[in-house]
Amino acid sequence: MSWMLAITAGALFGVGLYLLLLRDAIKFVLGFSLILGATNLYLLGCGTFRGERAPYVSEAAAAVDPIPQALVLTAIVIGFAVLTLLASMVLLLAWRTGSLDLDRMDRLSR
Amino acid sequence: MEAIPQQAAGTALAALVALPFVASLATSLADRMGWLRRRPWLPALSVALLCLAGFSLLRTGREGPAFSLPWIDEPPIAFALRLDGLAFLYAILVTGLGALVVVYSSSHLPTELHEHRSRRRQSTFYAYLLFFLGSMLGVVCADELLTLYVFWEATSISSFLLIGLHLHEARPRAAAIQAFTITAGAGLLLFLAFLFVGRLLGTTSIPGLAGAGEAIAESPLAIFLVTFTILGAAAKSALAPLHFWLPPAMVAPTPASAYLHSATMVAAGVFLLARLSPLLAEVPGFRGALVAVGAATMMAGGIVASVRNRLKEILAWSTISQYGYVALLLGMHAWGAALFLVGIHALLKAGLFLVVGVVVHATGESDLRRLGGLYRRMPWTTASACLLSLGLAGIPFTSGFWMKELFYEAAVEEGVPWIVTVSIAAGTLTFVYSFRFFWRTFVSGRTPEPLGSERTFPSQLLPVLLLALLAVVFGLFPGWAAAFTDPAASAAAAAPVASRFALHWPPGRALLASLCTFVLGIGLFVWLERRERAFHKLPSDAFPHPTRRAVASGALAMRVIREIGPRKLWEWFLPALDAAGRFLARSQTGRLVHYLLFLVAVPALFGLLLLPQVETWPEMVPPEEIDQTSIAFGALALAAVGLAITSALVHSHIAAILMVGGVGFVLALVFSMLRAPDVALVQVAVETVSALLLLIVLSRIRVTIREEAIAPVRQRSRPARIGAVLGAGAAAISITATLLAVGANPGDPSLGKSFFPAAEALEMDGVVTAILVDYRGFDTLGEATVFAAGTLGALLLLSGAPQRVLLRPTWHPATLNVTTRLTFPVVLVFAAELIVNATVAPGEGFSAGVLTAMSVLLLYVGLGYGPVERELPFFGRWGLATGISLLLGSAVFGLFTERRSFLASAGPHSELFGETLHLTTHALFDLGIFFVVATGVIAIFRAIGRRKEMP
Repeated sequence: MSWMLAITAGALFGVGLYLLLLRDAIKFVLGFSLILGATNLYLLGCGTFRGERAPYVSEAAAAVDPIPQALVLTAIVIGFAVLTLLASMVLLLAWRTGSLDLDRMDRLSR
Repeated sequence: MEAIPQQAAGTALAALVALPFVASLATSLADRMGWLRRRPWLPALSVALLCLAGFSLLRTGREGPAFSLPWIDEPPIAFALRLDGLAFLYAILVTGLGALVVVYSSSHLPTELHEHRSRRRQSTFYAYLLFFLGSMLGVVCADELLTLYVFWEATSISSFLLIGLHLHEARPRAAAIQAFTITAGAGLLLFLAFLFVGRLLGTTSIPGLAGAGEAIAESPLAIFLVTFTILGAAAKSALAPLHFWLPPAMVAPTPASAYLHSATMVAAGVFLLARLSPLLAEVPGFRGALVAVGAATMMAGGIVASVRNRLKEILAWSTISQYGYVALLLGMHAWGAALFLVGIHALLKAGLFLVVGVVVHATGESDLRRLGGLYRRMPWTTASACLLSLGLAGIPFTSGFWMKELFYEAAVEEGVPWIVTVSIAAGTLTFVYSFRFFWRTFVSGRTPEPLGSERTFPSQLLPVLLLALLAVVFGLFPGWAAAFTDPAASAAAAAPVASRFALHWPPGRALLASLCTFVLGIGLFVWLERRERAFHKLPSDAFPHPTRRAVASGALAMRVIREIGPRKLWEWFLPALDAAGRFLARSQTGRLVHYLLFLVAVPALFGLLLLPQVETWPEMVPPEEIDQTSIAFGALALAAVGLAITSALVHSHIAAILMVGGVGFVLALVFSMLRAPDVALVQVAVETVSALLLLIVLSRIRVTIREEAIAPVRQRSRPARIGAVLGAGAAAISITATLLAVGANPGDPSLGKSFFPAAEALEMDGVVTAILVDYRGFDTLGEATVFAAGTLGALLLLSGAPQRVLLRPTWHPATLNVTTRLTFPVVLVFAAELIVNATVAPGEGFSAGVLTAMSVLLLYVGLGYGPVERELPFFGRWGLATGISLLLGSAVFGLFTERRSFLASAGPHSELFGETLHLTTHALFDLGIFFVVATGVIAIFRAIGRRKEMP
């Protein structure tokens, strides 16, 4: 399972990065979203111990590491806030410049 | 008087140091409120006097009160203050002169601001001055090196602010930047030196340094320590070769020059040398370096001061020269003389600067050549100036005479012929520029015309007279001044020091040296005057200034210094920095894609570099052992990756958004398979809202724009695409490999395990929730704040866009209308249930918020924008504010519980319908999160939905 987890995280990250490198602003936002997902998966894979149960006190004996989960929860929420900001920026860029082409947005002054 | 208990005295000391900072803020605020219209100087004056009185009262016993507030245990670092003799001398100087300078400024400042057409408020000046007062008190009272450093840099900052007070003019700005770069830059070296000390001795406490001289001297780092310390001190005290920032800094308002740049802040450099000398004295070369720097500085300062014509410039170079004396004396371990000089010079020079202020105020003239004969019109000022400048020249019966006497005595006792020679030469120059300053301004020549237009205020004259009086009193009774300076010297030398003030007959060698100085000085002065007058009769302006040429008979040397001297280096430094910047700018393509590739691919490559260090890898599961779980997991993984790749390949934006949303849902399933149900739940909520958000954003962008973006013609060139694929591939491999390595080498599980009993102690079942709302509650608070900030940021961005409100009714299917109206309350009830649930198992605030937001979104979809806007009230900002206040309130509440910790859980647990209700602050915390999330998300959707696309 750890192999599959690692490959999935890597692949999602790679595809996300590829999307970031395209010229399309919408795909850029999607790439960001994919990278967020990959990172969260990565973090969950970093637990110091494995288990068959979710981390609840009642099942402490067989539970997984709770710390990555707490970190990922925070990361998801913050990621959503950033995504919101990013989407607003894209919308504004489209309104202001009449384009979704990131290569055209090479001047901060525009 | 009864002795004050040590602890109370220590606290009082800390309070006295903190007071100016508080007053600085208060001055600024009070002026904004309009309370200080008439008397903006009042807080500054009262604080300076209060501190003066406070320090005088606190000064009892030899040890002095101390205050310490531990910060880090290992290595021990504390915020520590102590009022020993050295600190006391400086504290009295800083507060006493501060009070006088404020009195002076009360009438000077309005004129100065008016003349410079400055819009700065007077209170700004006083706030800066108070900030400086506090930082300077901190420097001198610091009992720990890092405390000292912090205050040290604070004095640099306040000096920067005061030099640049008239920030609408170019010269003050340049001077402020130069002064700050040099003093704060050298301050950084000092910081390094302090870190060395801490590393070597294991302590940064100043009393802990006593007796550590040997250990330092043996260390190979000693040479750096000495160099950095001397450079740091030299920059502050304007010693060569870092002296050149001081003369331009004279563009500061005159009271600031008098206070910071002659008497107190520049004295901090020599203060530091005195403070650290027990530590550094043993290092070979330290004393020699100080002697050399001191001698060079006092000569150079003296020569230049003798040929300058602007009043403030003469005084600036004279200040440089005088701190050269002090450095020389410290190098010779003549503690008594050095600190006597610091104290008396501060009085004399501050007084002289104020005299210059009075003269410039009265005549509007700041050039020696156009001034003269002022004694007829300004008798009081002239009398004070006479006492002060003759004091600086070292005429008997003034305090300056004893200053010189101690200086010569130390030089003679050192027994090195060249030091004696240089000392007499420097003394002669001091005599010349002091006397010239007085003679040319007040006695010889004509009175300039505009005199009499401006009257001198009593509040300007009072400080000057007082300082002149002190100069004479300390001249007649030098022991009175020594009562302050000798304890300071004893503290610095760590041995009792007693200065002797006595005149013998036949005269001692020191007195002979003084007499020698007078004869030489008068001779040089007369010669210079003659030369100058001779040149004045010539009609042409073609000649360079005569005195300059005359004195610089070593003109070539001067020229060389000017051409390759430190000031020139500074002039080269800025363009060089500029050029480097331009060069670097060329590497900036301005293309987002290039930056991203570097930002992401470079760390990924670092990840790959770490791989050879990995020892174990996870084992591949043999085929026969593959169970159903693994197959399911593999299927999910395949689905996620497949969807992601397809989203990259499809042209339709809508399809891509839906596919990435699909990846999110698959990931939620993966999370739940990884035994993370809370994460999975939140992931589902967030993924839904994200997809909706992106779809709505898309609907607000014109179709032509979208089509243009996805048209294959506009894709990148082949090499660019290959580059992107390669970069993405490298990142993917790196992520995979590092995660495998981490998985095969898990760290210490004890931290994760420790949260299970901890959650039990809080009576919570969900460990993740316990971590989030309690142990890492501060992070969650930060997270909610980030969320609110992100939302507000998005709202701000969208509020600047061209608006056209869509309130006209649009057609929506009746069934959709009815369905959404029915679903809305159901979803709300569900969200409410989650909130109530928070009293049983906290941590659902976020999900409840997202659910509520989604129910409102459903309304927008089902009914159209207009009807919802009309029917549903919305309190966007108030919702966010309520949320954040609830969060902070519940967080602060924890401080008053037994655990005395921010965010700790508090509140009763009660039984209701057989369920334990935790009516704790955690429930409030959850409610806060709910408010932030719900209002934030709804506000964003409203902002995006309200505006039609750009025409």
